[in-house]
Amino acid sequence: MTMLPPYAVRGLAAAFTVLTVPAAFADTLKERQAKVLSVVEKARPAVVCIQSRSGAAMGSGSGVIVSNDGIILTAAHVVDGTGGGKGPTEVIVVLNDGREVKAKVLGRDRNRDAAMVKIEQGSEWAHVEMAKAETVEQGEWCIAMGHPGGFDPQRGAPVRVGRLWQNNDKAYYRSDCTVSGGDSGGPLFDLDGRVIGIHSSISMDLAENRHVPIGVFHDDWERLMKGDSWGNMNKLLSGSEDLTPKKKEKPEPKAAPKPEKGDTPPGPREPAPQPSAKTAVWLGIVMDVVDGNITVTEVADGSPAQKAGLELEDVILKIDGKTAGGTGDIAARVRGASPGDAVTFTVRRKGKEQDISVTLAERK
Amino acid sequence: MKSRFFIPVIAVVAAGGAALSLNAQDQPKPKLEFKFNGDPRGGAAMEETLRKMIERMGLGDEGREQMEKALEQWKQGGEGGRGTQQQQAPQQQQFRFEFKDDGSGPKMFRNGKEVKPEDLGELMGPMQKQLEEMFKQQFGGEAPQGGGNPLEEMMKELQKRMQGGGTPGAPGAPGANPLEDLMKRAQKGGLGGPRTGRERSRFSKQHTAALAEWRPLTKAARESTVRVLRDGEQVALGTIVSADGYALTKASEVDKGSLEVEFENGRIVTAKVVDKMDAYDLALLKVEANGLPVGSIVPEEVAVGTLVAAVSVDEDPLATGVISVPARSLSEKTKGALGIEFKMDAELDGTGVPIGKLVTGCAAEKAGLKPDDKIMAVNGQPVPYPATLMRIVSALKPGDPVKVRYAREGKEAELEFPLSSREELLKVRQEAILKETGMKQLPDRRALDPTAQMGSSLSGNASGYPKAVQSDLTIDANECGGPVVDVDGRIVAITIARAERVSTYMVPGKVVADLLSDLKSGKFTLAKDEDTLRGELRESEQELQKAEAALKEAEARRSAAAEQLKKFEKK
Repeated sequence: MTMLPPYAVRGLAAAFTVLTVPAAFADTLKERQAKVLSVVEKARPAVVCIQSRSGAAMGSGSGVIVSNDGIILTAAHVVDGTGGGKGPTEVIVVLNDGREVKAKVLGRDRNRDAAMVKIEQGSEWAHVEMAKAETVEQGEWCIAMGHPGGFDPQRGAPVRVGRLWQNNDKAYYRSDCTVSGGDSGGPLFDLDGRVIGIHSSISMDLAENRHVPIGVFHDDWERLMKGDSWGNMNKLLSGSEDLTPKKKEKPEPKAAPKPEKGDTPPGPREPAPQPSAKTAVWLGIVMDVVDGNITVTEVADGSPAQKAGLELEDVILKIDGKTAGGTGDIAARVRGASPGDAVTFTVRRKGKEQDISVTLAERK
Repeated sequence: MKSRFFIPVIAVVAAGGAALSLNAQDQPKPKLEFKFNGDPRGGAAMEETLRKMIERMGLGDEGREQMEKALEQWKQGGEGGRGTQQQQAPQQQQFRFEFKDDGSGPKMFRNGKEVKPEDLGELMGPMQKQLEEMFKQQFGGEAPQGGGNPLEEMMKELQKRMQGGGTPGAPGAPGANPLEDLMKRAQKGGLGGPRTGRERSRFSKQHTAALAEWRPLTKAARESTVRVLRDGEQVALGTIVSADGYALTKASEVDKGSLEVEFENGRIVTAKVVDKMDAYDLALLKVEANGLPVGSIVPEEVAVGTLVAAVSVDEDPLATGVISVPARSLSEKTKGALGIEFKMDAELDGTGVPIGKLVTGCAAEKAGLKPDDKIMAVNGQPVPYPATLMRIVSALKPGDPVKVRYAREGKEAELEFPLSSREELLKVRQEAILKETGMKQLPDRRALDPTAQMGSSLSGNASGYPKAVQSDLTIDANECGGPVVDVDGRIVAITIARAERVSTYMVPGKVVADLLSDLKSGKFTLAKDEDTLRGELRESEQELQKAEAALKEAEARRSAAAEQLKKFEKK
């Protein structure tokens, strides 16, 4: 018996190389690095920590100064009251060098998680430029800064780099620049150091970091400057994690200790409990609340959702005949199901309502 | 008559763009090539699989077109591809399996030379792992585990046949040929589907196109990287630091179990820990190998904003990211502290920091500072805000004398006293909290902030390093200990802990280079860091004092006893 000629695989392997390595790969990386280094130098002084203190409780978020006279962009939930309260009128802004200044809370757009505050006194504040919404491109490299875990004088604002993998202006931007609690309100920059988004929330996925699009601030500018507060955050944030550490209250006996501010950092590190296993079902869509509607903003290739015919911009009205109040309702229904189960979505597409039945698959 | 049987995993190898090499490091880099036997349906199935893979890559039209072209070339057995210059044509290595009808059992040949069953374990283990890795990369999901993993089944079957004889079933008979099973399952998409759209979004930084930028830069580093296996499971990576078999890894991951390392070429050899450096959680491994490629570790500080990649043994880096925070101490032992708590809710006017409480037994209390005293300057430097005070004091060393200027009831004064350490202060504070709350142990900071843990498996040991540089590299806990390269492909650090969602700590190249100077001079002992030495000095001095006191006491007792004895002797 004779052997067949070997399947020459190098051709294919090489094709991948051709596809994926730009001719001047090193230059591209180096050019990108030069830009990141320049943004770090120029923009870092404009990144601030925003603390809302009331008694012994303190919440800590981030923000970025965008004007000479100290206007700061942040997330609405950083300066919003707990339990439906009106929220503070004044916050403490900790600058990158450790200086503390008082700032007045201007307005809040809770629908989009956007807010502005303004440093009360002084001018000549280190600040950055806001990008125009139309210059923001899907897939562009971006830089996240902020104060995860609160202000740490020996650390400053850590720099993170990733790509803006979704830039739907009507929903959230999504990047794989990792952010976490305390980063809320912090800036996402483009490689020219302009603010393109404000950190808002995350999911279990390391690649899912959600940012308020810069266009929201342009659109809301006058209302926010006037001091208007409007909208409802619950709908927007459902199904994802709030990035502001929970207000730290005085410890109840037998409860978790209060992390103190002061020259006393938190306790020793022990192995942290690991997040529980991911759900086993796969639907394959990304949803956002757009103009108050639950809207499909991403459909994964090859996903059950795609196979069943769900499309981008579909507005989800009902799930299994029940009105969907928020993205959380849908996520909960899907998580509660098993692979092979059918879930019926009532969607509105181009003004027409229709039912689409999706057979869920197993998420590997 | 012989029938030949070749494994079609080449499809996976090809699509992954990675060479699967199983021979020794010192030979020219081989390319593992599996060939399928004369069954044309096998070839068709492979083509199908490849097309499926192309679909799943999420490429654009142009990319798809190029892929199709490559596929045609592949079918014709041609070299093709403009990339051949970049991707050096590797030396071919052939694996061949022979099954004889006389029942004497199959034989495996590597480059024409027979492989004995006793060598199989060494070959099969890494092969399977690499295949699983490739499936993971290719399909975006874990290769199915347990009975559901066709690769595993295939390998097991193969191994069984290699060892125990038997002939493969008639081609095409359902279930008889594991390769057929593999093909069928691959076509059904049963080899793990894409997890989410975004993970393989072509706009993501983890997309193969973005990672590929780094391939030429990580090449050298990955050859000097090993997977560290504890009882057969990967627990860390290691960085080879000397040609005669020494590698650095994360100590707390290799403190028990039987250890092995797996090289970039798939070879697995036993390893043992010969030294440890607790301060950095580093362990020095000795592996039974020689002539290893040593990565060059550059002893330079890297600036914030420097782009970096975490390297493993695979062609694509584990993650790409950036230097987030410059090297700093994460050890509370090295940092000075006054021993105060700031006053919450104080109106700060930028002239000083009012004291809320004094921490019992710490420096400030001993020196006589009181609550509501306003600290205005430390060693002549103004401290307008808590953060400025903390930054200045933390940079000083415990035991250092410090001049504190303060205001009490409108009058300014100055005190000079030696600093406490932050470690001391923390201990007192923690004891107080434990007492207050009745808890046995304080939770990790990460446990208090759930968002810090989201999306990653985190290292248990992730703090206290005397010098660490922070990056945003999204590696997993069992991927620490490997090299990190910059855009020139130089190793600038070694990962030591996946700390939180946003942070991975790394031991700077400078520190590693210093630690290795002893290694090079033939003393295979990791140097101790300054803090540890100071600590040992303090402890031994204290022990000496105690011993001296005990000696004196014993001497006194002896002479007293001798004195009393005299009375009896007189009698």
